[in-house]
This record gives sequence, C-alpha cells and structure tokens, in this order.
Amino acid sequence: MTLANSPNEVVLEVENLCTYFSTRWGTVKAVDGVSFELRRGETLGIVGESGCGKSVTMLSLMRLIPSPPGEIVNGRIMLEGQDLLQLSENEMSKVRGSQIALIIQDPMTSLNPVFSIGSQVNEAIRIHQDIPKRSILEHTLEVLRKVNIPAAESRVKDYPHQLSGGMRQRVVGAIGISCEPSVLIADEPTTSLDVTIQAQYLKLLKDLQQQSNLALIFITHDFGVVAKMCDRVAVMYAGKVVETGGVRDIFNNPSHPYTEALLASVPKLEEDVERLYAIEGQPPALHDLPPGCSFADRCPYVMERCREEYPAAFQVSESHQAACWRLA
Amino acid sequence: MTTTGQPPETVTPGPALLEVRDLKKYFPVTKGLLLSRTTGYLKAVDGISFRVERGKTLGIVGESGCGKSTTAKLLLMLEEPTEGSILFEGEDIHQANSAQRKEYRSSVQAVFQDPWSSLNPRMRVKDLVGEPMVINWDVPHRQVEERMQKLLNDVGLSSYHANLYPHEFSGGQRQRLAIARGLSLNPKMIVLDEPVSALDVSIRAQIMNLLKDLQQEYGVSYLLIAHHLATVRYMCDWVAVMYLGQIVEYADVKELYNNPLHPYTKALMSAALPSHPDIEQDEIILTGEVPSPLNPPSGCRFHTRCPFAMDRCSVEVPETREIAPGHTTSCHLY
Repeated sequence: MTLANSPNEVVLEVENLCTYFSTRWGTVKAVDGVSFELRRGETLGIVGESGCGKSVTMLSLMRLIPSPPGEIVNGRIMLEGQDLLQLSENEMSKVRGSQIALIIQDPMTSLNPVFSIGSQVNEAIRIHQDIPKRSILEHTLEVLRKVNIPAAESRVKDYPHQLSGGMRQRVVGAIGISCEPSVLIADEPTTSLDVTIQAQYLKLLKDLQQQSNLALIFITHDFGVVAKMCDRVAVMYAGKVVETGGVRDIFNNPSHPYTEALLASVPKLEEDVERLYAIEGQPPALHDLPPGCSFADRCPYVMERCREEYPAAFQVSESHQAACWRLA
Repeated sequence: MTTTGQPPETVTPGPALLEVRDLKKYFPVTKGLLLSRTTGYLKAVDGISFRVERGKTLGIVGESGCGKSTTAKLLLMLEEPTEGSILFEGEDIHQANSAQRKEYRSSVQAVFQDPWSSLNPRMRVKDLVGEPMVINWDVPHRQVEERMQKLLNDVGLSSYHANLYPHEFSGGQRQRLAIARGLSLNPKMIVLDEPVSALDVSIRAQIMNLLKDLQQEYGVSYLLIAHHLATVRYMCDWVAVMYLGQIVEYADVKELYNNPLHPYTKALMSAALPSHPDIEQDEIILTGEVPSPLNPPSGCRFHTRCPFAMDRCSVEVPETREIAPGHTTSCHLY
C-alpha cells in the first residue's frame, strides 16, 4: 500500500517533457522541456497565462493528448517508479483515474448530463477496483460524504442539472478522489465559482490532501490561489518553465522578469496600489518562437544575449531556479 | 423598504451625476402555458439606492445572483424598474420624454464581460466604433472617421486596425475595441460589467490602467460590476456590497477595505485570495450557497449563512445605519 511509503517520497517526476502539435503553420511546441518533481502531501502550482502550455502539460501527464495532431516527442514521466510514456494504452487506462486523477475546470461540461452523479462517481470504482456490487453504493456514498455533499443518500440519484455549480464541482472532485490516487491534478478548479464557494472548495481540497497525504498539482493563472494553496510553484511561459521555487521564494524574491511582472500586475486585496505594472504586448505565437528567450520582447531588462540564446536555468537558492541571463 | 442604503454625503456639491432611489425589479414567475398566472415574484433587485459622482467610479460587488447585472440592465434602460427612480443629472429618466430618454441612452454606455460575444463578428472595426455616432449624431462621414481614428489611438490601437474584423484581434484588443465603442458618443457614464474577468492576467492590468487613464482624460464616471475584490479596490472610489438584491454595506473604498462592518462583507474579504502566502486571513468560511431570490429568507436575508446570527435576525429586517460618515450598513450588530 502507498501509505506504507515514507511521507516525503517523490511520487511524480517529470523530466524534459516535450509535447508538440503539427499544424498547418508549423510545429507548435506547446510544452518544450518541462521538468519538475512532486512529493507526497505536497502541492505544486503551475502558473501561467492561457497558451503557456500548462493545460497541455496536464494532458500529457494523463496521456490524453489527441494524437494526431499532438505528440509527446520526448521526456519521461515517472509515477511511483513507472514511466507512463512507456506504457501501452491498456496499461495506461489502468493507471488513469486510479493512480493519477484529474479535476477539470468546467463542471458544466465535464459531467455527463444523462447519467446520475452516483453512477459517474462510481464509474472509476467499478472499473479500477474489484469490489462486490452491493458495496458499490456504500462506497459511492462515502466518497460523496468526503467532499461534503449534504444528504448524499438522496443526492446520489440526482442528475448534474439538479445541482448548483459549487455542488457540481464537488462531484467532479469526488470522481477525482474516488480511487484514492496518489497524484491529483486540478486544472483551474475554481475559476467558474463564486468567491465564497471557491473558499469552501479550496478548503475541501486541503482537507482531502491532509487526510490521504495526496500530492496535488494546481494549474492556475491566479497567484492568489498559489499563495493560499501551494508549497512550490512552477511559472510557465511559452511552453517552458521559466522559474521554480518554494512559494515564499517566488513571492519574496521573484527572479525571472516574467514572474516579477506578473506579480506586479495583480491588484492587491490588502493594500492600495497606485498603478499596476502592465506587461507590454502579447505572449508570442508558439509556432514561431524567437531563437532566444521567448519573453525578450516584453522584458524590461532585455539584453542582446537574450535574443540570441535561450538562458539556462540558474540556481537562485537551493530550492529556487530561474531561466534568465540576468542571473548568469 | 427599511434596508435601503442611504446615499452617503458627497464631497462634490450639486446633484450627483446619477442617483438611484429605492430601485426595485421584480420578475413575475408564471405557471401554466395558456392560462398562465403569476405565482410569485423573483425579487432580483429589491430597494437599492446609491449615487455615482462625476468622474468617479462606483463598484458593485457580490456573488452571482445578487442582482448586480439586473442593476446594470436597469441603468442601461434595458429593463423597466418595478418601482423606484433613476435620476440622471437630477432628472428622473422614467418621467422624461423620448428625446431626453434618447439623450440619456447615449450618455450612459456599457462595456461587457465577454469581448468575444459583445462585438458583431460581421462588422469591421470602423463600423463597430463608428456605428453609435452614425445613429445618434447628424455629422458628416469625415468627422465620424476622424473621431473613430482618435478613439482607436486613445485605447491603444492603430489606425490600420480600422479595416479588420473582431476575430483578427486578441481578447485584450477586443476589450479595447469595446471600450472605444463605449466612448464613441462621449458618454458621461459607462457601465462596466466584469470588464476584465474574461482576460488573461497580464492583459487585465493593461485594461484596468487604460480605463483609469481614460477616466482622467474624458472625465467619465464608471459603474463597475465585479466579483473580484482586489480589482474593485484598485478601480473604485465607492463600493456597494450586494446580497440577494439588496445593498448590505456602502462606503468609500478605503473605509470599506480597512473597516468592513457587515458580516457578509467580512466573509467576502476572508474568502478572497491573499496576495502573499504569509498573509493570515480570518477564517470566515460561509457554509451553503446563496438562497434563491424566489423565496428569500425572512428578516435579514443573510441570517441563514451568517456566523453572527441572533434570534432577532430571522424576524426583524435590519435598518440601514450610518456607522461612520458615509459608511452605511444594514445589520443588527450595529
């Protein structure tokens, strides 16, 4: 059993992951050399704007990249000692949902409207776990109670349209944890929720994580979610991780100009900001990246070298790395 | 209604640009197809009052279903109020004749949340931005063209964009177009309904700064509808917090963020996400969800979720009290 393992062991290790898409404009390097590791009980935040490759990273981890046009061209994804990229499609479907699970952003579209929520929650249990038919309902109710669905006994037969948005998101969470995975990926799980419902949901995820020492990956564009939830952060820009570090490293000492700019462009709840920093321009098109640093065109500190060569990752402190020539 | 927020005293003399008094909008709920009868009312907006000053920004915050968007629709005259009045420069717009109404409509413009659906995909930029002027103003084509070019420049686009279609722009640029269109008639007020929430983080700051700059340049007032409290703090001068169709707290922005009084405001603040991992927040996590406005709770509408609820809260509707100058709230605690 997983619980017997040491609490801080690395459960997921991603190394040099490259996912490319072939399009008529050329090869789109949606994820280009992404590496990170994740320990048990830890929360990693992957932060970036739309199009930076954070969702493709997540889909690659689940091996759900539509192929063609997409392809994982390089890299290793080690989940509890096995390389997911070496598995056959059959073997992968055994892993998916049971060892690594996913909570998608929009509960309106990720739940099937013609099945009751009970049958959607226990689908994964039926597929992955060998338990007798009569105890399936019991198991389903237990999972629904875990995500704080009130009156689970009567809710289990409800259909998605009978639930509110926050409730639906809980059901999606229940599907995610139904088989007690070791890694749970949450892709912007709260963007469609109201603030008070968002707070409830984030607290729920934290509680679930503590109960089962779950490793969480939070994909988000919101630094507030990161500040509240994450232990470590990876900031992505144009398909690459530009900075990684502990959550305090990132907030106290942002070392990549993109991270610095992003943090300065967010209004603060606790204090007055005279004027927000606005990053000029737009993120680059991924099929036509410049040879050097992809942030060079928007960077206030740009140097000649930035346009010629992609910067290596420099160590800022023991737990903190950033890919910027200023640190050379 | 006793829960009506009294508009706070203002610094600027004379009538406010816009004043809303005890505004109500009830939507009838009907049953039956042919012989339909009204079985109840959905009280989307239930007795709100506020004022918008010249060149200033009023923010309305609240969760979905609290009536913020209905308020916007009432101000834009897209809905007729059930009761109450909207005074624009001292004149009640619902008593006005059709010429005055037309003038009101061109003085109050709107920018919506989603720039993908708020711009007609079959119109070129020059027509999108120029259309309001062609309809409302009797001016020669050349003048429209000139003003359109100036507006595009003001919102950070170039003249060559004039011949393009909306799909050729990114989200941030589309929102700039929507703003240019909103500004085209030289309005006195713009209703901004979640203007940045559909945009990427780095683009949000560009748009918020642009809106602030344009306010300086044009002296236009904003009514900002948003759910993101940090955005409201950055953009607004005054803030009204809405819950189930009513304003529960109203204050200037500094006062509200430093000294929130109503339990709902406090809960919203504690639910909002911190800007730094070391910031300790009060743990007021509201249980449950917003009750249905079809059948709002008795007494104080918030008492079903309020951590400080007392016996009288479920019976008695709290009166609106002015706690500090310009800071009003409706709660039995005060």
